[in-house]
Amino acid sequence: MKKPQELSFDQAAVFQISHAQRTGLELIWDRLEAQEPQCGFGTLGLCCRHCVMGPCRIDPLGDGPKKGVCGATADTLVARHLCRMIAAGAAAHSDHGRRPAILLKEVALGENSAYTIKDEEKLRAVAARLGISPEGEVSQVALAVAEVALSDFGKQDTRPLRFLEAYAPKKRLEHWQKLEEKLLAQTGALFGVLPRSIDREVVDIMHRTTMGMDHDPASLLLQGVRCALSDGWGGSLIATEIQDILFGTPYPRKVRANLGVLKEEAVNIVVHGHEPVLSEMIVQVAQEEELVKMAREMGAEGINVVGLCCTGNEILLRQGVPVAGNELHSELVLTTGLCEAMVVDVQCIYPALPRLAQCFHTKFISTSDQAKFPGAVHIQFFEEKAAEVARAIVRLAVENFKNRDPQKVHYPRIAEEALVGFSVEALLKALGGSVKPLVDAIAQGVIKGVAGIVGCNNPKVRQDYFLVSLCRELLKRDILVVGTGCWAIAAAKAGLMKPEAAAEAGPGVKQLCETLGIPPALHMGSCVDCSRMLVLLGAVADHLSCDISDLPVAGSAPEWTTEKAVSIGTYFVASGVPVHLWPAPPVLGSPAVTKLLTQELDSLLGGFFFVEEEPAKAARKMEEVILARRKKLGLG
Amino acid sequence: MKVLAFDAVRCMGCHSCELACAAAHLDGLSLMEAVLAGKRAPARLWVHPGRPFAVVITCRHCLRAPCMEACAPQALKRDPQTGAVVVEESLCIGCRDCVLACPFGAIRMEAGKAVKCDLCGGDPACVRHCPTGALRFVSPEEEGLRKQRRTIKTFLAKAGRKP
Repeated sequence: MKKPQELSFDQAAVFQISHAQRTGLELIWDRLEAQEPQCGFGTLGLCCRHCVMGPCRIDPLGDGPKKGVCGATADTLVARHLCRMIAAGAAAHSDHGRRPAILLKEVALGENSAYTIKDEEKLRAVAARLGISPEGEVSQVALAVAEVALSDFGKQDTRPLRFLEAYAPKKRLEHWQKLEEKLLAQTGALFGVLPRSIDREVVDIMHRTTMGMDHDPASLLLQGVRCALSDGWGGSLIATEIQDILFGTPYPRKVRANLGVLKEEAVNIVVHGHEPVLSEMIVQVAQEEELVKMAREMGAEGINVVGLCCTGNEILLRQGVPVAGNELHSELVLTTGLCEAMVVDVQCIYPALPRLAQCFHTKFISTSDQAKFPGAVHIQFFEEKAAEVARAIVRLAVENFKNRDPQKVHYPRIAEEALVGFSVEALLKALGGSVKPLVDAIAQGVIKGVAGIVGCNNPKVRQDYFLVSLCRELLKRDILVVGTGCWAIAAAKAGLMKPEAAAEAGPGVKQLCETLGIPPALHMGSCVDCSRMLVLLGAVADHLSCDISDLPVAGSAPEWTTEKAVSIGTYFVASGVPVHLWPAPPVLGSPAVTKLLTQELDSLLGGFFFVEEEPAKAARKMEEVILARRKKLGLG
Repeated sequence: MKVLAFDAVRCMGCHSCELACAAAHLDGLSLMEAVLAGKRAPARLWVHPGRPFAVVITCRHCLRAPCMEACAPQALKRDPQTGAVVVEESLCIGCRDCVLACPFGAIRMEAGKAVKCDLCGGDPACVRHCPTGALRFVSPEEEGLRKQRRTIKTFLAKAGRKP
């Protein structure tokens, strides 16, 4: 058993892991240890289970088979598998985006009265961007926006997504169009890069990667690119924009982050997962007098709703709800013995959680028809009865307060302050209405560039160590850091989202932060909100009449876990941003595919992947990329 | 001295042991680095798809090893720490006598030299990577005792007694 300090960089986590180890509670790190050493074929991407002539494996080193039963080579196997990872990741983000799009339509038609349009200004801005008249009745405009979004999910023509056409910067759009034409002219074969419809690109991949279909690694990867773009500039973007319309565009606000946000004297409800649709309602009803009164009658001071993971990020940004932690905190928060309920929607919810909850009084409540858990209490969420469902959940939690066992309560009183909520709109406001001050700061060399850090925790990497250390290394090098997801929570917990943290940064970032009154690490939202970074990149590129691939920017997912991260990484690369990954994705079994991803994609799309295990080395490589681009732009 | 024990009932035929074996003999490179460098590294044990069970073939490190007796330049030596029969590459002349002498077929040639299991210096990678415990690294004496205890349990159970 490893020492808690080796498992997490976060002192609250170390405290809680020690407690779990002492009391014999099984955590994710124990399960990883039981799985080790992990399969070499899987690590390299050299196994295939797509048909039952298999399962097949390819021997990377010795005299074993070099082809699957069907004849597929290592290159095909690896490319097919990567392609399916992208499809799964894009499907997750986009299916998330579908829900608010349908909800917006229902609200516009008056079919759902549980929700309203909170941000009319954003609605009209999105409409204008889509070429819809922003004037007139709110419900009319909302209906038109919702219909464009829903049509992007399911349309059958081959034109690019309307959201992508409306949001991607001009030069990038032209680049993709020209790339399709160039590939056709050069090869005589059709290669698609521009997504036609969100659902179709996922279906295309499932079709293309089934037995006896596409075996050309480059063709497979380009379809992966197309599907990833349907996520970044499609499903995820739709999720962000419509959630802003329904729940409000985030603006800077102070919040607290880490396990210390739990309150011993209150009913604690942890909301975990990815969507804001239910959690927004839980936050709202938890303030209702009747429920608060009920909590007081139970002997509690009140009801304390806290977030976890990206559901946490959604309500953190919009409602200022404190966040208990990122992905690897999801078990730790249960081990505090303070949670009356953990309410989950979709994605990144470990199936281990309900069993761990049973070691305590905690009610583990699943709510989505798409994510059910043996051992959970299931309270089905219906959007049209959102408030009733939320009340039932909160009531269950309040009634459970009496079952809390004080003997089992053990938690760290650790939480950091953070200034969060930097939507593109909020950033523009801080910049005085235009990206020009940011562009000037980069052009004059006040800061070298901007880096985006995203994505998960992974128990294979010491929790938050890479996320936080990479951020610090970049800031020292005068590179401003923006990001989302589990990185954002890690940075908040580490205190990097306090404006004072600028003192840790290089002189340029420090100066910029002090001028604008912003922290050096900017929280842009949940993982679907990576689309905010795309929109910001697009705004800067259009401002300079250049392409994203000209800008001094780089990205990283240094503790990534999920297929969603593969999709995110791919749409950034496909949009012209070099992306660092750690751990290495399961592609190294094919040197040809590895070369495609790390070198050849650069000439096609102006972005590429690279793998680096050390935060300082990763930061150096990202700085090199940024400096090379500055040089190309003629900046010192 | 411990030996490799193979339990055919537990083997799923996943070939993880072969890959782990090859990866453990890469002169310090990681599996990923070796694959990217296009390095060749044959395994020193082999999973044969016997039916209904797979069979793993590898060196037994025989106490009276025919390969050692056959090796004229005395390139095959016994590691005093682990009891493994190991090849001292600099002495191997590639005569292949050991390959012919081995009754199990556990020695192969690679780049003109004999290649065989070396028990990874006492912590065999194949055993570490076996996901089902089909491969174990055990002392034959302890294994004998374990089986004696199991036999006694079976007898007692048949007699309706608790062990």
